[in-house]
Amino acid sequence: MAVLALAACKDKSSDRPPAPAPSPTGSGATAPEITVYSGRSEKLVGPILAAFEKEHGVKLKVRYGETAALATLLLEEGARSPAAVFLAQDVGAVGALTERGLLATLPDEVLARVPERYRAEKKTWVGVTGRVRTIVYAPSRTSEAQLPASVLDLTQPAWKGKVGWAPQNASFQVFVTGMRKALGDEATAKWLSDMKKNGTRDYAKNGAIVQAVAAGEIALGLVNHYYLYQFLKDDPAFDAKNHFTVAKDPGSLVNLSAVGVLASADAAAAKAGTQLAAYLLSDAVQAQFAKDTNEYPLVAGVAAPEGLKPLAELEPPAIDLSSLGDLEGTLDLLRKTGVTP
Amino acid sequence: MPTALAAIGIAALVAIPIGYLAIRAAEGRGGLGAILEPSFGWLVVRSLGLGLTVGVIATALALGLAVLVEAVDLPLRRLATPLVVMPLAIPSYVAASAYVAGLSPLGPFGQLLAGLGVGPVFPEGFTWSVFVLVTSTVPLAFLPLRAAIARVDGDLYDAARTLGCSRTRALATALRPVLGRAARSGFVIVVLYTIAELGTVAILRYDALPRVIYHQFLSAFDRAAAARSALVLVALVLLVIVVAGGTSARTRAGDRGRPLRYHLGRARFLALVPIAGYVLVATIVPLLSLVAWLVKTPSSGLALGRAVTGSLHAAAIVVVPSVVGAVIVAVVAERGGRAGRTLGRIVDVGFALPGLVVALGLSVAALRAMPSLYHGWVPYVLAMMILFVPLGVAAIRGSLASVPPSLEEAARTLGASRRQAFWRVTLPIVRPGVLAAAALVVISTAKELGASLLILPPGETTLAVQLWDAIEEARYGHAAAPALLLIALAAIASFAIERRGMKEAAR
Amino acid sequence: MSDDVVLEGVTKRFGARTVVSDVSVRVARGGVLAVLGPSGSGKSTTLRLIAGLESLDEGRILLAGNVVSTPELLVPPERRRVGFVFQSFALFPHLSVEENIAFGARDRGRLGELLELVRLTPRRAARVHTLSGGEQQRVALARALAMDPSVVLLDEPFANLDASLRRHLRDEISFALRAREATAILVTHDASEAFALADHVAVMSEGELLQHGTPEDVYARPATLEIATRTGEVVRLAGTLTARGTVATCLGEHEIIGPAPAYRHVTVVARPEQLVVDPGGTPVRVQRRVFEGASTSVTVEIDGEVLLMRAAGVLVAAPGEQVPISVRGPVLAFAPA
Repeated sequence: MAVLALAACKDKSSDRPPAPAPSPTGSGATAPEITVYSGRSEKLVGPILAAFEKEHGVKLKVRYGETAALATLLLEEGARSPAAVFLAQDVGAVGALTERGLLATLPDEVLARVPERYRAEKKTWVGVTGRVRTIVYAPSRTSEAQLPASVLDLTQPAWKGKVGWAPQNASFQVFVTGMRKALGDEATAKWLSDMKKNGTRDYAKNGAIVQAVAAGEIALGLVNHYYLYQFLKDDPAFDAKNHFTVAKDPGSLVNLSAVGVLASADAAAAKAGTQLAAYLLSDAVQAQFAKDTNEYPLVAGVAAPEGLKPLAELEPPAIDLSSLGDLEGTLDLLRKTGVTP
Repeated sequence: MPTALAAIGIAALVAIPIGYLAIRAAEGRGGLGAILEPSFGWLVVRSLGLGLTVGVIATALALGLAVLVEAVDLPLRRLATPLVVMPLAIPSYVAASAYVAGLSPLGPFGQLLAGLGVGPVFPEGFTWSVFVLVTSTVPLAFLPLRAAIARVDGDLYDAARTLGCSRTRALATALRPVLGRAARSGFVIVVLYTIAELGTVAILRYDALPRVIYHQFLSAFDRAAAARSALVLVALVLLVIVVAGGTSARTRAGDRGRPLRYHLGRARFLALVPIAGYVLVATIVPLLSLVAWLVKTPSSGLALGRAVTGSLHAAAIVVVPSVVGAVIVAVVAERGGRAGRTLGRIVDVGFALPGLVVALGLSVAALRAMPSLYHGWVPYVLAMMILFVPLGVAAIRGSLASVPPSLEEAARTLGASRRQAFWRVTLPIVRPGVLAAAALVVISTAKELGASLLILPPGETTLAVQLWDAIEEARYGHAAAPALLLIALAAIASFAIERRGMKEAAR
Repeated sequence: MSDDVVLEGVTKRFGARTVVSDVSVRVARGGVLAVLGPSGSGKSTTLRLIAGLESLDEGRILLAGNVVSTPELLVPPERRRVGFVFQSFALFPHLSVEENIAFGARDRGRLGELLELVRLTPRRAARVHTLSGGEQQRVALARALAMDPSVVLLDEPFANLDASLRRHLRDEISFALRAREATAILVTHDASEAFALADHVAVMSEGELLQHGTPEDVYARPATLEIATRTGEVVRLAGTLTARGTVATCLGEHEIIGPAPAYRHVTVVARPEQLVVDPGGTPVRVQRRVFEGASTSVTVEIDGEVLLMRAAGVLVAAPGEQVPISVRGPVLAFAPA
C-alpha cells in the first residue's frame, strides 16, 4: 500500500498545468512548451507533431479529443485556457471560436500559402487539408446506375432504411450548415426530417459507417471521402467505393481541417503556435497528408491523392467556408427535426 | 474531532458536482426554468419508463430464479447460484457491445442469421435496451432475494401444509413475509442502476437521459444544455431514492430452523430450463460473441497494453484516497450515532449518481474554481471517490460491526490512547474489510465508463474507454480483447472477495 | 490514606434518567468489593465511571489518592492504570492468548508467571476464538492483571459462563486476586458470588447505594426488606411486636436483630435455613417438596401463610403431611410491607 501511496503522490505532483496562462513576464523557458488541442486523431497527426517537435525544438503537450468537445472546452476555458493551438477537423469549430473572438490573427505569409477561399475572412484560421463529402457504397451490392445524383434523392422510398449518417459528427454538422446556406433553413429542415422518416440509421463515427456499408448493414453512407482509404490500405479488396454527387450539390461540400492560434496564448507560445501552423502548410507535410490520409492538400503545387479528382476540378456548392461557424443554428435545427435528441 | 471533519468533507464532495451543474444550467438560455420544457418531460418519461420496465422484469425473473435455486430441490443446486450471479462480472455495456458485435453482419450470430435467410438484426432501441439491461441486472435483484429465502424457516412450510394448504400455497405462505422487503430492495437497486447507466443506452441507441447528456456534452454548443439534462437525471435518481425510502437494506441475522425445500419430483429437471436459458443469454451468448471476434482479429497488442497499464495506473491513483476515505466514513457512520448514520447515507447517494453527471459537474467546478487542476488527475480521483467510497464503506462497515466498542475500551483500560486503540485493535480486525474495499474500488474504477470518458486526464485511457472507442468505430475485433479482460478482472476479483469472505466466516 | 478507590457523591445521568445517584463508597488497598444489584441498578455504570469510560455529572472519584473524575475533569482510561474485565471478555480476536495478555503489560518478563497463574501456559499461542468460555475468562483476567493495575474491575465476570463452570472459576479468580494482593471491585447480580469473592458488599438498586458492609453483615442484617430480598432467599411472616421487645408470629416468639421498628404489626423476615424441623415446634402442613441433592426446599403452609424452608438432606414428610418446625436464631423485623 505504501508503494501505491507513493505512486499516487508522484502523479499528483507532476500534475502541473502544461503552459502558463498569459503571464506578463513571459515564459522564459529555454525549450518552449506549448499545449495543442487536436480534434484530429493521434494516429493520423501524432507522427507529424512528433516530427515538428524534433525539427523546431518545441515541446508539444497534445490533448486529443473530439473537435466539437474541444471547441466547447475552449469556450468554457476562455482566457484561462492553457492551449496555444487548436487543430480542428472542420471549419465549423474554428468559425465558432472566431465569432467569440478566441482566435488570434495569423501572419500573412502563413495565410498566403493557401487560396483565399480556404482561409478565414478574418484571418483567424487557415485550412490545412481538404475533405469532400461523399456517399460511400458497396459495388457488390449497388450498381453505379442505382446511385443517387444528389443527397436530396436519399429521401426516396428506394433507400428506406438503407442509408447511414453520423449526426454527432462535426463534419456532418458543417455539411448541414452548408446545406442551410445553400438551400435555406426550411428546405434543410424538411430534408432532415424526411431522412429521419425514411429510416436513416445513426452511427457514432464515420469509420463505422464505411464498415457498415462494406458489411451490408446499409447500402449508402454519408461520410468524408478519405475514410475509405484507411480501409483500402488494410484490405485492397475492401467492398466499398466513394461516389461523388453532382456538381454544386450540397452533398459535395468541401470541408477543411484547419488550424488556429489561441488569442489567450502569450507571445512565446503564439510564436511557437504560428510555427506549427506554418509547418503543417509546408510542402513536405502537405504531401504527407495526401499520402497518409488521402486528404486534399491545399497548398498549390502539391499533388492530390492518387485516384481522386484534383481539388480545383471539384465543383462544390458556392458557400463561403468562413460563414460556416453558425453551429448553434445547425444544432437547433437537428434537435428540432429530431435527428439529435 | 478531525475524523468527523474529514468525514463531513467527504460527504460534502457529493454536493460539489450537483451544485456546479445547477450554476452552469442557470447560465444557459432560459436558465433553470428551461428544465420545465416538454422536451425534458419526454426524456424523463423515457428514462423512467426504461428504469421501471427493467426493474419489474428483472425483479420478477430474479424472484423466480431465487425460488428455484434456494427453495426447490433443484439438481446441481451448488452450481446454480454462481452461474446465475456470473453476469455481475459482465458490465452491461460490455454485454451490449457483445450483442451488437455478435449480431453485426460480420459477427458470429449475424452470419448465422444470414445463413438462415434472416436479414440484418440491429440490436437497438427500447426493447433491446430492456433485454440487455435485464440480463445484466437480474443478479442484483437475485442476491438479496436469495439471501432472504435462504433464511426462511422450513418449518413454516410444513406448518402451512399441516394446516391444510396445498404445496404451492404453502410455499407462497412461507415465502411471503420475507419477499416484500427483499424484492423491494432489489427492485430499487435495479431501477437506480438502469436510469444512471450510460454505456448500454448509448451503444443500443436508446435516447434515455445519459445518452442525451453525453451527446450534448460532445456536440452541443454550450455545456448549459448538458448541465440541465444532468440535473434532471440527478433529480430523477434522488426521487427514486426518496420514494424507495433509502438504498441500504440492513439484513438481520436470524436463526434458521430447517431449510425450506419444495419438492418438484420429476419436474426437477425442467426447473433447470429457465436457469439454463438465463445463463445462455446473459453469459454464454455475449462471451461466445466476444471470443469469436477475438479469434478473428489479429490483436493490436500495443493498444491493449496501453489500455491495461492505463487502467492499472488510474486504479492505483484512485485506490489510496478512496480507501482512506472509506475507513473514515465507515468509522464515523458506525460509531457516530444518528449524525454518523445520516452522514453515511449522504455518502451513499454518491453511488447512485451517474458517473457521467458527477464528471460533468466536477469539470465545471474545476474550470470555475481551480482551472489549473482541470487537466490533471484531481477531478477524476474526486469523481471516483464520490462514486465508489460508498462501496468501500459498505465493505468496511461489515467488518467494523464485528468489532464491539468494548474491544477499544479494553485497549484503553490497558493503556492505549484512543488513536493507539484504533491502530492496534480495530484496524487489524477490519483489515479484511479494508482489503475488500480496495479490491472493489479497483474493479469499479476499471469498469467505469461515464466519468472516465469525460475527465480522464488527456492521453490517459482505460480498458472501458478503449472498448467504447472501438464500438463507436464499429471495430468489433478491437473491442473483444478489452471486453474479455474487463470480464476476467471482475470475475477474479469477486471470486477472491468471496473466498476471503468465506474464510472469515469459517473463523 | 490506605484507600485505593474512593467515590464521593457520584451521580451520573443519561438524558433525563439518573442512572447513578449520589453513590459514596471506599475500597481499602487489597480489598475486594462486590457491588450487588439487579440489571438496571446502575452498578455497571458505576464501574465504567471508575474506569474512566464514562464521565460523571456530580461528585468525585479518587484512585490511590489522586482525583481522576470530577464534573470538570476526566482522566482518560489509558492513564488510570485500572484493569477492566469485560462481561463479554473483549479479547482481541487478531491476537493470540499470549499477545492479548501482553497487550498492556509493562513488564513482559512476568508474562510466564501470569500464564501459570491462570493455568493457560499450554495454550499461550492459541487464537482466542479456539478457547472455551472459561479459558477466555482467565485470559481476560490475566490481561487485566498484566498491566499491574492499581485496581481491577470485573463486570459480571461469570454471567457468560455455564453454571457448572462458575463455582470453579470463582475460586480461581479469588485465588488469583489474592495472590496478587489486588484491589478489586466486581459487579454482579448473583448474591452468592458476591459473598464468596468479596470482603465487602455494596447493595445497589435503581442507581442508589442501599447498604454497605461485610457479606455476613449484609446477609444477616439487611437494612431493608428490599436488601434482604436481594441478598438471599427470604421467608416472610406477619408478626406483632411484644412488650418484651420480641416479635410474635404463627411460629412462635423470636428475638429481633437490630433495633425494633416503631410499628406494632411488622413484616418478619427470616432465611429459609433458619426454619428447622423441631419436635417441639409448631406443626405446619407440607405443600411441596423439592429434593435438590444437598438440601430439600420445602414449601409449607400454616394459617394461610405460605413459607419456604430449606432442610439439610432429605425431609421424610410428604406433601399433605404435617411437620413440626421452629425458627432458629433471631429474625429481622421491618415496617409492614
